Amino acid sequence: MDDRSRMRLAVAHEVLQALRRGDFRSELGETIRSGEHVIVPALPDDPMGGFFDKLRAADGTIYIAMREENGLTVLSMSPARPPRHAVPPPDECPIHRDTQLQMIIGYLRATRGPLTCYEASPGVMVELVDDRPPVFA
Amino acid sequence: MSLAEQDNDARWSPDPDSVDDWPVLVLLDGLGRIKGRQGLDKETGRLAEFALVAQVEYQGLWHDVALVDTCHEEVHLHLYAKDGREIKDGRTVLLPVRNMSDVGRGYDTAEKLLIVEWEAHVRRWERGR
Repeated sequence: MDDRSRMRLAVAHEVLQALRRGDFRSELGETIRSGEHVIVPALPDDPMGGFFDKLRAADGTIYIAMREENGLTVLSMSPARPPRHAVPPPDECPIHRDTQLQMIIGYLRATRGPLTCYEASPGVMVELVDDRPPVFA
Repeated sequence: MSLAEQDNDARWSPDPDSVDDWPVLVLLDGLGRIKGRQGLDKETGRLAEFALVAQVEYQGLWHDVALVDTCHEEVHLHLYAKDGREIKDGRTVLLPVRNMSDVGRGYDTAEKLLIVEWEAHVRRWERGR
């Protein structure tokens, strides 16, 4: 077993211990459709892409738990409701798949509020293969 | 046997109507997952029963590898093989449940057993013994 798996299991141990406390459980109130509370023990440099994948698979709120100096930090991630208008709200923030979890937690701490974000697709270049001049009738 | 000894040995389990369920799924990237259920006393919120099962994904399905629960007024461990059968002598009683505190102690033992022995449990599941 590699070091990262060992560290992840150590976070899982802290999560399972914390779940004995009512105050911790009450912070993790949301469930997925099957009624389960989903928690993902994470490492600070885990890429956000994996969490987007888990969120899609769960189709409901997931909680990401990361160990910091003062104990566990828990981040909730929920599918955002589609905007009521065609124009997205100004606080929508692109997050690339390789963005590290600790960067998002640092940002949330600095802004002290929830963040509506979306998974940014990698840049794509489009080009006509056969670049003939246009034909006019 | 004296009455006191009998009382000390009396097993305990909660009234099913007095327990609220708190199901949980702990996703372990690259390892598997722990599927759990806490039965919490409706009045006090204390842990009255539980089940924790370590699972791995194989051929697109989740398979039980090791399970610790409080059935039959005992905290016990079950170990499973890849073909789904319970491994012979794989059932180990960790402690008898005589009160709610024993359930809490059993939970602490259970989660450590699943986490610390994860690799060994998965190897045993693959070998089938």
